[in-house]
Amino acid sequence: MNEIKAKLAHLKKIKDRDRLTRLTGQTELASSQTLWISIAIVSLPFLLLLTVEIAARCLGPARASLSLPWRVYDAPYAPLSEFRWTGDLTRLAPLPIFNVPVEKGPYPLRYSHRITDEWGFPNRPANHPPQPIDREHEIILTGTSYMAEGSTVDKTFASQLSRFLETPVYNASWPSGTPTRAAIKVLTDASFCKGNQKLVILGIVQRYLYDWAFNEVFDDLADDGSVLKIPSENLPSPTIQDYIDWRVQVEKYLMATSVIREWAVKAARPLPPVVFQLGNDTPVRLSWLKTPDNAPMLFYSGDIVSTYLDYNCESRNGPRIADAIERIHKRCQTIGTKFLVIIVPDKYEIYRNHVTPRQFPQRYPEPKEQIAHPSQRAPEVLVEELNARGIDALDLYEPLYHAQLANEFQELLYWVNDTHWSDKGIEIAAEYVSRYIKEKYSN
Amino acid sequence: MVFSSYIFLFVFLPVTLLVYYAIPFRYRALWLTVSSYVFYGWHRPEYCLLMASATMLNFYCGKAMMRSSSDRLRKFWLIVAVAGSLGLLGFYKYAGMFSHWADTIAQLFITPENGTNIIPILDIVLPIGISFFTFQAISYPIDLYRGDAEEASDLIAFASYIAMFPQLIAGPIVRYQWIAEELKERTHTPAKFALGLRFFSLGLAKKVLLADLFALGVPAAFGSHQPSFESAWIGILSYSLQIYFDFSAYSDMAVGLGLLMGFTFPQNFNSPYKSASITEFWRRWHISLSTWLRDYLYIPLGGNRKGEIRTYVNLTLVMLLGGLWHGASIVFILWGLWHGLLLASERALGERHPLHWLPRPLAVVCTHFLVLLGWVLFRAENFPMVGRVLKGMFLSFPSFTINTHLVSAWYVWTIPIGICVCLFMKNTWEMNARQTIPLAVRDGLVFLLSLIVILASTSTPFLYFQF
Repeated sequence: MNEIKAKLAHLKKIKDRDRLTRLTGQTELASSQTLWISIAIVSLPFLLLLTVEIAARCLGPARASLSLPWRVYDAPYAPLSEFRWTGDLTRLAPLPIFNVPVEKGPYPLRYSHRITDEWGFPNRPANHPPQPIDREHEIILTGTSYMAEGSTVDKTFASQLSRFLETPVYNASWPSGTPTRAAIKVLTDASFCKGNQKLVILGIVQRYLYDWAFNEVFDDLADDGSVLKIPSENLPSPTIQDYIDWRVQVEKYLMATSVIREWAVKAARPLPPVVFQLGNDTPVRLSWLKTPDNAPMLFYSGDIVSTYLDYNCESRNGPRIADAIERIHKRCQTIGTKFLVIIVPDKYEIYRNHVTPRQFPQRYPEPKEQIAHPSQRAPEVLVEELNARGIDALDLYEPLYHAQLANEFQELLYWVNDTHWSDKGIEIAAEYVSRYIKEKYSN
Repeated sequence: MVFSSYIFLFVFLPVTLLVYYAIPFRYRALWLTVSSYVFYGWHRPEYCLLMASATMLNFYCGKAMMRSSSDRLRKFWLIVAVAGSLGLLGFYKYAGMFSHWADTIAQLFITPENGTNIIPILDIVLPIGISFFTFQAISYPIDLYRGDAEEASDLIAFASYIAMFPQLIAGPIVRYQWIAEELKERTHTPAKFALGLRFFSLGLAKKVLLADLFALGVPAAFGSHQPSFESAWIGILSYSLQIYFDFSAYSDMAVGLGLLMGFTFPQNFNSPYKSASITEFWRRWHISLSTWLRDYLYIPLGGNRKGEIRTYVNLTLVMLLGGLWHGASIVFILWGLWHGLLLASERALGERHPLHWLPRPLAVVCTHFLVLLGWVLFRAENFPMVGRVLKGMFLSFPSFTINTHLVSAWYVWTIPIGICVCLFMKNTWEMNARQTIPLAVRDGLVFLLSLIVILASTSTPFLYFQF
């Protein structure tokens, strides 16, 4: 019985596979020479590209460094490193129009050059073993990439604020982290900062004004500002999330530093634009209007959605955000440091006319309350709430929006190909904040 | 890891192939296992344990089964293996859905406090390809029990069979009996390598040049709150072409990669849009799944041996479970039910069924239309979306204008071209496989073009990864 079954199975196997066997049989009809030449023809371009790529990586000039596999230091970047790159949204929307070298591009493309100090923060390196930062800087700036980056080290918000205030500002911004991650490090890690500063600034981007972005504050600080979680002196244990972050970083790094990718981008320019056209579910939107350089602006879909759909502070759970910020404020009071919150508007808020509701009428209906209550923007409501709690807070919407209206296309306040603010936007904001600081904390 | 990604094409594949051909045959199964676990674990390393568990469970249950003296004991080990594998699948894929349903039902009777859930909803990240490797693993103890397969003697070879990266995450579902011999001994010839390169390069081109192209039109229907007649049709036709080329691409690439390492996988995709009936469609679409469901579910349920009514019930039930296999969502279940009912109706009406007496070209169009309706359920995330798209397709009036914010005007012309490709062109398996230099040049150019597009743009993952 078993023999019969085995035979049946064998026949079935042959039946299922006979077509592939037929195909390989047909392939074998060709001469051995033809087969080898065919293999060479198909694989040669690939092997050439691979060889060039390997050679460029091994022999070419050093490119950006890749941080270690695990989060071995509690810092945003590898210490004493150097990074350069162009706008991040073009990775999501590789439109041919943006595929130009930054120095040749007719558009103001985002270009970022960053060096890190011995702590891994974007400051000029001190080239000495890590020591607490207190003595050199009276002001510490914390926040995410908006606070961290500029086209050069001298164009960051910290540098420009430092210029206007004529006092050093330490850039403790933490790109890719939560808005409060850097502030918590500054205020809790005595090996990094002993808390003897005069002022700690927390810069929050509008898109992070959601309660989930502030959860870690409740884990690390009590409601009276005392520290709940003492940073461990030992290296943190790697987690799965660390691995995933690293994997994403490796994939981005490989693409960003690929020589053959640069070639491919050039070679792909003549291809039909539909290959690169954005679908409606990509995370990036193209603007309706174009700049005088005929370049469309890129926006995060998420910014548009959050600005439209979560226009009011309630839907973002504003009171919980205020509670989190209040804990940081109390922590500052405990250690005798002043505390200032600044809220940076999203690019979409400033260049709203570039993506009109008319463009996406079905997906993003214009909320009625937005028209009826223009003063009820989430950042404004939050600033009012914070001020009521005795916390100094500034919304940068007004100075940036007015600057945009007065000077719409002369010098863009946000990059065309990215959602970060440009050097000009940073400058306007830094001047506005410096005036506030001078007036408020004149002593 | 996605086949059409830089890391796969320029790091993983060259290293894997180089080492594979550099080491003696007896170590190749081990290398294949290691590289396949790296391939799988690259996404979420912790899920390698899941795959290893499924491997060990089925391997050792198979061993115990073959050493059992009584049929009762053999059955016991079979049940342990199948229940264990299905348990893993059930927990990781369906626990979230069932806990959500249970909470929804509980909230009908109890008002939750502070908007919390009454029954905690499990939020489990779906291990990619779990449905594929679980079904593949299950087939082994069943075949052993039935006497359709020989016992696997080598754990490493068995592990390489379960984890084999070319077909690990989107099929074909390869049964152990089909490749047991090749796991022990297989040939590596220039003919196989050349054919493998052809399958791989054509598959890659289908993915990056066609599937990703048609993906652009899909949001016209499914990303809109109120799709117009034109948007709905452009969207659903685009999706039907996207999923066709996407799955066809992956199947070709899997077969090609298998050939590069000496394995001959079964055909999984055979121009399904050329079908003149739903029965024929399922003989051409995801062949390894439909035959798996037939052999391990439909026939054990009684197949067509227990009367007409039972046959229809079995057909519908099998397809419903097939729908559930694709995803833990009510819309997938309904998609399976839709196909089950269509199959049952074809079976019930026999020659009287319209698709049987219509001229073949018309039957092909009608079949495609029925499949298209099924794709609405398959692609939609929820019922309201199904309703919106169907409303746009059937209850709206054409305005003969295209919303150019959603798709460019000339994109629309790619849709009929894509349909013609599906209907009239030979598929990879039907082409003459005899290798010639001009054909090699064609394959090389297509491969190069695909690489350029991959490097110069972002690509969406294969749709079948999510199942």
